[in-house]
Amino acid sequence: MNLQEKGWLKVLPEEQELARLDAQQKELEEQLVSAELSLETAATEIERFKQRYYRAVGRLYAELDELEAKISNARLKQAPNDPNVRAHAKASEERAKRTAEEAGFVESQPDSEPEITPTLKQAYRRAVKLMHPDLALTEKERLRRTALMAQINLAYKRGDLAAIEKLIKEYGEDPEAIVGEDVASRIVKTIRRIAQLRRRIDEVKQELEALKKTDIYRLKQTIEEQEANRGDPLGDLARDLKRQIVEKQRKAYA
Amino acid sequence: MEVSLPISHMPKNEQLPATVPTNSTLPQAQSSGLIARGLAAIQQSLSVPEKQDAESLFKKGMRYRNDEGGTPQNSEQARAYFLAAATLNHAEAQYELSLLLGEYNEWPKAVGWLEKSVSLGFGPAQQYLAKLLSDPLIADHLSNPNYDESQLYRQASAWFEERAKAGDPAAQYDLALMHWNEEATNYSPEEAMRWMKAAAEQDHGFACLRLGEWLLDDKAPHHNTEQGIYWFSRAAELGKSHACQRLGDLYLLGHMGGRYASKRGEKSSQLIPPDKNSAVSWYERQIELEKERGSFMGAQSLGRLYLFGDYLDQNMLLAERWLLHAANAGNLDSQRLLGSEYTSGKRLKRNATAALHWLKMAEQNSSSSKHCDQYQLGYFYEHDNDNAPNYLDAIMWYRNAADQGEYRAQKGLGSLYEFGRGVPTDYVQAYKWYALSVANSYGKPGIRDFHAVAIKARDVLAQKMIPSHIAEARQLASDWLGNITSLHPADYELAREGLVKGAS
Repeated sequence: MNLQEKGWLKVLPEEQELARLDAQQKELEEQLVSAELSLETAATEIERFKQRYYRAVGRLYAELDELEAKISNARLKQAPNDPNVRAHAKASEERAKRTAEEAGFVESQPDSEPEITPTLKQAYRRAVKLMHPDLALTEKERLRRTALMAQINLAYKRGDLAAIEKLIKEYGEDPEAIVGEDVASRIVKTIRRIAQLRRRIDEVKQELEALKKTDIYRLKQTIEEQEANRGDPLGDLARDLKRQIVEKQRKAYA
Repeated sequence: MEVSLPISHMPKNEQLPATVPTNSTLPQAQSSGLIARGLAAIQQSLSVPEKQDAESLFKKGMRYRNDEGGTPQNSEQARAYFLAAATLNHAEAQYELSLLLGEYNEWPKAVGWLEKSVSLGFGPAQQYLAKLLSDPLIADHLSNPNYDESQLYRQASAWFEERAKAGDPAAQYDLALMHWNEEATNYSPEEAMRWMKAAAEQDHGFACLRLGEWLLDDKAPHHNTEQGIYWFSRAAELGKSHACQRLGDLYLLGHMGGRYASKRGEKSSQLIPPDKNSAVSWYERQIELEKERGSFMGAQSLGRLYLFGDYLDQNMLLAERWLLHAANAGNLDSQRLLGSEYTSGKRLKRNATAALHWLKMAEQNSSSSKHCDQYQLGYFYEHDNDNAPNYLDAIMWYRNAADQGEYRAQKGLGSLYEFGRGVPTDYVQAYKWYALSVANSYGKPGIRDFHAVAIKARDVLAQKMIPSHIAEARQLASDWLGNITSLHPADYELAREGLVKGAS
């Protein structure tokens, strides 16, 4: 390469093209790895925030809905023939059931690691660079890498550095490493990889955009912004819910 | 070697590997109910409108506070609007916010807003602070320790007087109550009557009620029965159901002492000759007015009058009608009464099916005294079931009640175990429950007779038992008491003592 760049050796146009494509591929690989990392990090942080959120208010919402169901059932007893009252009682009972399920499900999930360390991020980068399915050229290899990638993502989510390093070690050499082939074949393969990389980068970006539009992400952002300004919105919400519960209890047992 | 253009090596599109999603952590598309609700709640709390002026914010808050103008009551909203107005130095909003915060026991904040309102010269806030100045809930959080109660009080009454003179009925009412207070420096029944009348004449419902109350007080110098009745009926017309009840009682008894006055040994002088028909029509008016608010006290009370026949002619048909009216609407006392009346058959015709229905409704409905209703159900299944005793259900209900420390259910459970009804005979269990019944009825003056009966049942059983079994049963009873969490601490202490003292 160096010799060619310095013009000491005669460089064929195909070889020039290959070098350009190689550089482009490297650049796109970097981009992809960064994009995958931010997507996975966002998803992991959301998961962690979700647990925090449900632990703070899940049970309170469940309690509140249960009380509301109780109240509307009591109303139904007073006016058993009113279709509106009946519909309301039914709806609030169903909601109470759903809420209880939702709050209970998240509560039963295991605790996650407190935070994502830089070391973990680096390991993730290395693993993705090595094993990303969009660097595969055959369907077989792609499927193999897809399974590996899922394992990497899971390990990252758990904060399991050792598992990622083990995956890297076991992966070994790239079976599709482009060596010892003629320039034309290498150009073809590189062009294909570049196309795949571009497609995946777009996909990841779209996924990240979609993620940012979800309620849970917006909730997380809102709460974290408030917390950065020394607010305690989650605590305030919990206190508000407790107040509502007290009020509903008064109503329910009045 | 084949030489070809790179492009010919390119696989066709369909040969490209299929896209397989690699990211397993993507959130599910389905939206989660609790997350959307949390987001909405937090966004709303952050976006209380700021552009509106304090007065309209305050008014909105009052609408949420008082369930006015088609706005359903919502303390959260009220609080948010009050807070917004209070921050803009709206004295009344500060006062209302302070009351609301007090209801939630957030005293430091409540006192802070109260002091702000006082400093802006808001009369009700001054009066409130004067009244509660020595209350530690308030006093501990005051930022200024130098308030003077009588000065605050003077300021407040000046504030009310200014508005009362301007014709504000609410201020006239409050001012009248201030003058009525015997401990106040400006105590003056004449002034109180004058201002209360002024408010009542402007159709202030509570003022009419209060004025009627004062005029019917036969010990007061301004006593005037006719005028008292007039103002009560005015209050009734303004929708105050309490006025109907007071008028009903007055016509029923001829005096204002209330139905339980004679039971308490109080003498009330006769104001008018009793008139049962008028009494009943006032009670019926009360029931009408209460119905709009979802209250059924009047129906329950009229049903009782017909049932027991102490003051009205006994009439089972009407008694049943009014009690059912209240019970069907969820009135707990009526449900209990119907349950016991249909069981005993002393007054209403015995009806086991109906009795069971109402006992069960009462059990579902009651909260703090659920164990009593559970005991009643157990008793019903043991003794009053139409076909035959149903010991299995009796045990179930007794057990529920007994586990909460209901002493009658514990004794009932003991006897079922002693005589092997619904369960195999088990003296150890029987002794355990008898002993707990003794413990839980210990030291309570109202149930001394029961306590003695429970001791007797336990000791008769003990004669049939060997000492090691008795010791085991006592241990079980003691363990039970050690594990129970639902007893009131005072009752728990008594029961502990009862278990030890009653054991000898």
